[in-house]
Amino acid sequence: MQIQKLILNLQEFWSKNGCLIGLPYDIEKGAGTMNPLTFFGALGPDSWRVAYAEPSRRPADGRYGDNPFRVYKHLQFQVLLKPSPANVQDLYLESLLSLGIDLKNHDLRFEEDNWESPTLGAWGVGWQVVLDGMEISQFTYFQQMGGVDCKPVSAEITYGVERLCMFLGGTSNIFETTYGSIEDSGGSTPVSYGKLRHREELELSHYSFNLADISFHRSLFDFHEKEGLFLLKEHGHFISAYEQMLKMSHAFNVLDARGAVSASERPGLIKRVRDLASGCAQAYLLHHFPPAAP
Amino acid sequence: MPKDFLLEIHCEEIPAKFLAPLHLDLQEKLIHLLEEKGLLDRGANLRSPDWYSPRKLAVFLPGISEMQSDIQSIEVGPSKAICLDAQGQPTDAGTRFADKWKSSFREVVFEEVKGKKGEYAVLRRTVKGLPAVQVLSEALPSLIGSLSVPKAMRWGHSSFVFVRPIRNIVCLLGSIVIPFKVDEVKSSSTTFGHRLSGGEIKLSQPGDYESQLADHQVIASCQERQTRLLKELSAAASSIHGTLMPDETLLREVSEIVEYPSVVLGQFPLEFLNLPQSILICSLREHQKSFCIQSSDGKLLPYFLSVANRDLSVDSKARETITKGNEWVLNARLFDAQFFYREDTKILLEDQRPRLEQLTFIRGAGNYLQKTERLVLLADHFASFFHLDGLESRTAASLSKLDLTTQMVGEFPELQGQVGAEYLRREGTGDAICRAVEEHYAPISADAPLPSTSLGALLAVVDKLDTLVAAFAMGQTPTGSKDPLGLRRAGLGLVRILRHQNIPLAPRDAILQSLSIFSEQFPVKDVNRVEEDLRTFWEERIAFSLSQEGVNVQLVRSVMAAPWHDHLQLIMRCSSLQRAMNQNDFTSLIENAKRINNILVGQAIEPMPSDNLLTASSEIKLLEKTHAIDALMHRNELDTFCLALAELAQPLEDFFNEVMVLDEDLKIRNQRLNLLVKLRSQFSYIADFSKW
Repeated sequence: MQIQKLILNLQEFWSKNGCLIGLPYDIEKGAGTMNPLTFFGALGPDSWRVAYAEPSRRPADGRYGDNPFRVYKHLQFQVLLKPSPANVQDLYLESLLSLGIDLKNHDLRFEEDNWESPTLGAWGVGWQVVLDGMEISQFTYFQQMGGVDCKPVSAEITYGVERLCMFLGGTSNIFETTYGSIEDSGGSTPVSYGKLRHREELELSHYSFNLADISFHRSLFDFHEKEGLFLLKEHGHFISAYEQMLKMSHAFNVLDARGAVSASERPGLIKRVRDLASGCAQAYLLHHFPPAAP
Repeated sequence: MPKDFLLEIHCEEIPAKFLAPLHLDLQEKLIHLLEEKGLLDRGANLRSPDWYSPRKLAVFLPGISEMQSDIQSIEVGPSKAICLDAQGQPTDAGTRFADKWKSSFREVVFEEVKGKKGEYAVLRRTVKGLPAVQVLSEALPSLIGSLSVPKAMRWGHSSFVFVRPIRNIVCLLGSIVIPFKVDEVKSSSTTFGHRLSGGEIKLSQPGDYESQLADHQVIASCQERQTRLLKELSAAASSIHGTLMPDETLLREVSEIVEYPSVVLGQFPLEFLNLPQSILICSLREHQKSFCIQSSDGKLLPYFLSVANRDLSVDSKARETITKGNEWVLNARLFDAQFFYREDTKILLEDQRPRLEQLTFIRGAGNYLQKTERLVLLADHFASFFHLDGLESRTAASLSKLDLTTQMVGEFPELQGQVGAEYLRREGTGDAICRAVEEHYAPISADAPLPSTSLGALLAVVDKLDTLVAAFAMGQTPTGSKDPLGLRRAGLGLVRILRHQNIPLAPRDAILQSLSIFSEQFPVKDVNRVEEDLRTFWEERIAFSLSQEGVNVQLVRSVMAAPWHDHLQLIMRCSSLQRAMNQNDFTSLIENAKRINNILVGQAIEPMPSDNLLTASSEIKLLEKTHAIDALMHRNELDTFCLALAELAQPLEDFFNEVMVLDEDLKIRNQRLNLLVKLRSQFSYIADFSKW
């Protein structure tokens, strides 16, 4: 299956099942969960359902485009359902059918895999979904987001888009999967993932492992923190502050891949990101769900 | 007529490791409840079958009464004087007492009540038994809520917490549904079979549960699944003329994550057999939960066995898809492993050393480069205890942690040590050092194998010792069930290795040595307190290890309370004493040893060279015995010494019967006290019985 087809099918399926179809958020991030549609969506008492594709950047996973399975940037398809419905697992299984996965012919397991994001001050319990021995999705009941207890609890489903496509097509090199096809008067021309992204992988890997300016990224980290705290503390602005948090988090990931974060320094840096994220969560709740006057 | 009882909690997939304990907890709490409510024959030895699977916790108990029996109850009220006025008429308090128990005052009698003076108002009444269905439907929701769940979660709008969301509940007494609700889920007689192919199951009675589930692709019993699985695995391995590589842990785990096991035989490309075997096995078992197949000469074959969670006996199309899928995934994994292997082996392990600095050891206790420096010093210091060469020991220690920097260990953390050994061997490092690096994390659990070589044992000991010292110095000691650094396991490992290798290492000396090396890098404020805390911790591990071997816990405690040097000595004392106690009754000796201690408390005793005033026959006998024991102590014959102690029992008994220790004549008193002091010190040659 083509990558774009997989995304289109999932969008169609989840839109039919009551989700807004969101867009990727235009700031680098390490996981689809960091899109504000999920981070803020999981907070507060109101109902919320959203689905979207999100590129996720993990600088340390870069392999210069040499490794057929690992990449600096991959695609996640995210679904958030708040509150988690009683039939959430069944819905998920139906979504697989929409991808042409007929479970009559497969083996499927939900294996324990709990999720935690120290930078977001978030954790949840759940599973990795294993299809014929392959991990195809992550399934999480959020218990906390931005240090705040989730009430009600949301279910988050994350599909690993490229893996799923490779698996379904039996392809053993990510760059050989087909992203989509261009159709014109000359007919149909398939476009490979490699054509679209291989050079990007090479350059971004080089950048994060060898070329990124360490002191520049350190100052980026500091500046974004300062800016974020200013927006949050002085103005109670949690969206613009949250964007600063995302930029901090990315600067941290680049520093980490660059080998510039010592082990003893790491928890402290993560905590600084988390503090800003928690501040944003609290400001969001205060704004949308102010406590009743005594 | 007693009925069968069935409770099934149907959940979203419960993590394998929680299943068995949760099932046991549910079963015990149910039996306790049924007993408490008088619905179970007391003393009946009840056990539910092991019906649990990823989505089900089911308890089946036969012989449950439908009705509670009536209970005769006695209620005691205020005293007669309060209940009756001067004319003998009931007071307000008197009628209130009767009303409270919904009885008439005429039924109240006045009697003497045990433990009280005078007569009191007493009501005898019959409490009618209730139907079991009513009692259980009231009690079960809170019973389910009280199950102990290590990592609990909430879901949806629930305020209820459990291990995973509860989606269905079956509760039957005979053919009757016991009605109740847990977080919006109502109990019924309907459950569900296998997720993909099972469908709905209507149960008419508890006894049908197992067979009905089997018809719907769920094997209820975990043991049954395990038995079937093992049979299928072995058959599949023989089908390609290989044998299954045994793996109890994996077998157990896989039985717990499937509801209906089927074995799938797959292949992987021959080129991956060039990877070190340990890495191959780890990829298969840890990441893919697959079993390995070996040839008759113990070599891995390019096949693997995966376990699918469904019946594949007649479905060849599904089998083919599932096999292909598993092969694809394993291929990807092994490709990754090969990639890491090639990357890692491009440079010498030694050249990775600076990167050890990036790896934190224990919070506040620096990095692995610093730890390695300490290990080298420790290995050098303790080498002689293991009859090892200092240079070789230092080299082994300096290489022991290098593999933590490799991509392979980053990917397969459980291969630490093994990867180092593999890479060092490739680089031409000597076998003894490679093996020591490989096994220095051993033992990895309470009953896992110990290092097999003395160099491996030395590295394992100094590694664990340093970890314990660093953690205790940084105040990161285990509390309750929390032991994130695995210190108890490390301590027990240390104890087992020293014993196995016969190393007479005194805990105090070892701790102080290690602390002094540690404090060169990180100042330790209160060395004495750290030493004391860690020594106590160490002694607890020794006691635990001995009690695991079946030595009486009180015996261990008493032996450890007497002064000792190292735990080889302790073990010898324990086993000698245990042998003596198996043959002789030490009860009266222990009692009298305690008595001696009590008598000696606070007595000012002047040492007295002479015992000429001891004249009673029993004290003379006792005195003679102590002389004989003295001689044995000089010869250090523990077994004979213990038997001599056993023979002290009667003379000691006679002594206390015949004489008064605290005689009015102070000289006699002092000589007797001296005799007791002597005895006490002789006891302490092996144990302090007052701690028994």
